[in-house]
Amino acid sequence: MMAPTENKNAPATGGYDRSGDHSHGPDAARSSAGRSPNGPEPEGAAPGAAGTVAADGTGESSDAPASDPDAAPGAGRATNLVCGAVISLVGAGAFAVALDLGLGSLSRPGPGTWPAIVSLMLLVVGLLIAARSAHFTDSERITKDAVGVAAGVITLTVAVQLMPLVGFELPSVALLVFWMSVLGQEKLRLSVPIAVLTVAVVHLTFVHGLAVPVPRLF
Amino acid sequence: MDFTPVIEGFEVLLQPENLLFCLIGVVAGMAIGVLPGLGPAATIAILLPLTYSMDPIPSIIMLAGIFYGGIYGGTVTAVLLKLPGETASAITALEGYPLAQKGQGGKALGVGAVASFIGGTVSIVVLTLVAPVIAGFALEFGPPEYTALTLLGILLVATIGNGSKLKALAGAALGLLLATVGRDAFTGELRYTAGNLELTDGLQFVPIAMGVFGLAEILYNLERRRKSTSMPVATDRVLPSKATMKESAAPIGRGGVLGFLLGLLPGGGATVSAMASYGIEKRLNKGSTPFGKGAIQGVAGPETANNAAATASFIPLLTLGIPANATMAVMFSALLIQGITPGPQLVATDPDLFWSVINSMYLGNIVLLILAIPLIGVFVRILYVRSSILSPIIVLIVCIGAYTISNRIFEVMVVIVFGVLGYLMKKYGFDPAPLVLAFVLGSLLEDNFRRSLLMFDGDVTRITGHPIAMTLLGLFLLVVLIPILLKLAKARRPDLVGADQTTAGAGAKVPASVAAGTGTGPDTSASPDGDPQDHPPKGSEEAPDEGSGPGGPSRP
Repeated sequence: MMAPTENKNAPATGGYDRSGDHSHGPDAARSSAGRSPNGPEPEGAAPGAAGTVAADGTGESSDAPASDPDAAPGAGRATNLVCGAVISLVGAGAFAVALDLGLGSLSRPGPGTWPAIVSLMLLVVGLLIAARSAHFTDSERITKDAVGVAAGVITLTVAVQLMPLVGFELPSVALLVFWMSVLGQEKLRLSVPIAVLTVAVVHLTFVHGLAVPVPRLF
Repeated sequence: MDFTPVIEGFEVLLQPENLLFCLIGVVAGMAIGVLPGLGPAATIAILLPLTYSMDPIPSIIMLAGIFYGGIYGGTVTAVLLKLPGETASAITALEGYPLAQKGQGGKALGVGAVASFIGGTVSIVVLTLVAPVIAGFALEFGPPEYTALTLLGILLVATIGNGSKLKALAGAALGLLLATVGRDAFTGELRYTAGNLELTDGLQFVPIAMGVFGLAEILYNLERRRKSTSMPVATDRVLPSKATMKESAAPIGRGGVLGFLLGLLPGGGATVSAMASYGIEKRLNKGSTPFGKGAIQGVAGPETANNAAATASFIPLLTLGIPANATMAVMFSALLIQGITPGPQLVATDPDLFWSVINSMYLGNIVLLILAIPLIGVFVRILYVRSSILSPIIVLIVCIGAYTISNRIFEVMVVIVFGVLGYLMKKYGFDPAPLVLAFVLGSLLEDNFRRSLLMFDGDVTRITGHPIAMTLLGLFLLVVLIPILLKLAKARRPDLVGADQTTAGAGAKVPASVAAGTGTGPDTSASPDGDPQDHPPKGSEEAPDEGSGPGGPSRP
């Protein structure tokens, strides 16, 4: 009984999901992930924030206390507005998929019943956040130092993708050296030995000690 | 009650190899937990892969070691760097850091270790006695009860957590949604997989926790660390003197009771109980040192309370199968990986495992105390290693660890995606804990919700026939309504509610004020040099003048 149902619905669901993936992603994770590696000025949130914050001094003054020079500057209303909007969009997208999955009824809940409830909750909470965006003082602006974060994420992704192809050792050493020397401004004569040593220890621990089948060269 | 299984459990535990695993766990937990910003949840998630290939009993023992080591690691950074690993140890920083600045960090750490030990042990003893009883009671729970209980748990975490409640609710809703990804348990239909075969079985918990707690923290620091480097203050001897212990005894006693009672609340009252203990000690303080200038009582009480509460939160996990906070959520999945399903059936079906979980906590606690004092010097050394060197190493360990979950790169990519999500959440004021907890509880909640609907044949009013579920739902409503009512009351009569410190509203507001307290409070900002490495006291320039913040969620 179950199999035919699944077959019948599979193409439709798959198609919907795929299209859904662009608008909302299976989750915000993916859509926001796409945002950050673009650099310190992701489309949407940050430029808006950076732009408005200067003008919108209200939230600012209370956000970054003078006694803490290291505190990241606070983000303004626009950031929270965008946060709320993104959350609502995720909720709306997820709700569309839930409708497609089949809402069922209270006496016979379908696969979409629960996702529909949860995505509606997401939608409403997102709208509330957007509506109250002026009242939040807990967001930080993404500063231009976030270039480092973006570079870190990109190199990490590349290294991880290389691991199944060439083993984990070389990408790991390269990753460690990049993070230490480029992102962390350590000297190469320090970072290279540490990187090699760390990878050797990880190799010994995981491959030999714990017998985990990590993709490897040696 | 029959204590034979408890005692038999100890015999297994005290075998040398098990002691060794506990030791490794404590050391590893402290080593990772001492890294600034990585709290117990992150520490356990990062170290979980170590236990994958082990047998259940040694791995549980090691986990207990990691748990206590990780918590204590947070205390070390709170005292020496004023960088608490979690909100609960932020309270310790209030008095611990001034002590460290006076060169008495060792005293604070020593008393902290003793206080943690006593708080933890008191809680485990009570846990030993109470857990089987609650588990027996919980065997009666059906789907409606579980639905109500899970809802209450998620709500409590969302409202007791850091910062804005709306944002916490958004995180919780997202967590619930993420939990639906994959094959539907009832119909077999694929949900939110976007045709991706690797998502068929849904997302796994551990890479998500590694991402939002571990990698996100490292990415966040990557942006900040260019500006400043911080060095821990030198410490004196750690072994507390007799006079110090005498001063601390009463706060420890009060903290233990308080911590256990508040810790029983689902939602994990570690922060609230530490706050409450700090408030009480501050009121009662007749010692030579005023609070805010490094009063040892302000370390002893809250540390005991927070450890008692942290341990007490094992009760809902082991007896109901419901993790009460993010750390318990990670422990929950760690036990699941070992084939142990925490819940009411565990005591009955597998008493050996149940008691070894509890007994290994005794062991972890003792090993921590015996180890912590001599080893503190070593762990303090870790703080001198620059984060530019430590962070990449942790990232590598996280990646390899994530790979070992199912031996595929997909989990590593999940860590990266959630690392970025966690980074953005941190930037934009969203606490990751509700997301993680809701994700863990999501499928349990959905299953029981759907079962309840089937049971009631769609007629939700039939829940009135279930008194326990109704009580839980009543509590749920109370938690929702009290802060709103308080806010209304405060708007009308600010003079009345302003002094209120113990209500749910104050509890919800607490962490924000804690952040303020560690950052810019009049007590702690007395030092002229300020704190370059301090976490930004997000959105609050006013500091709590008492231990706990003024009631009411609104900010002037």
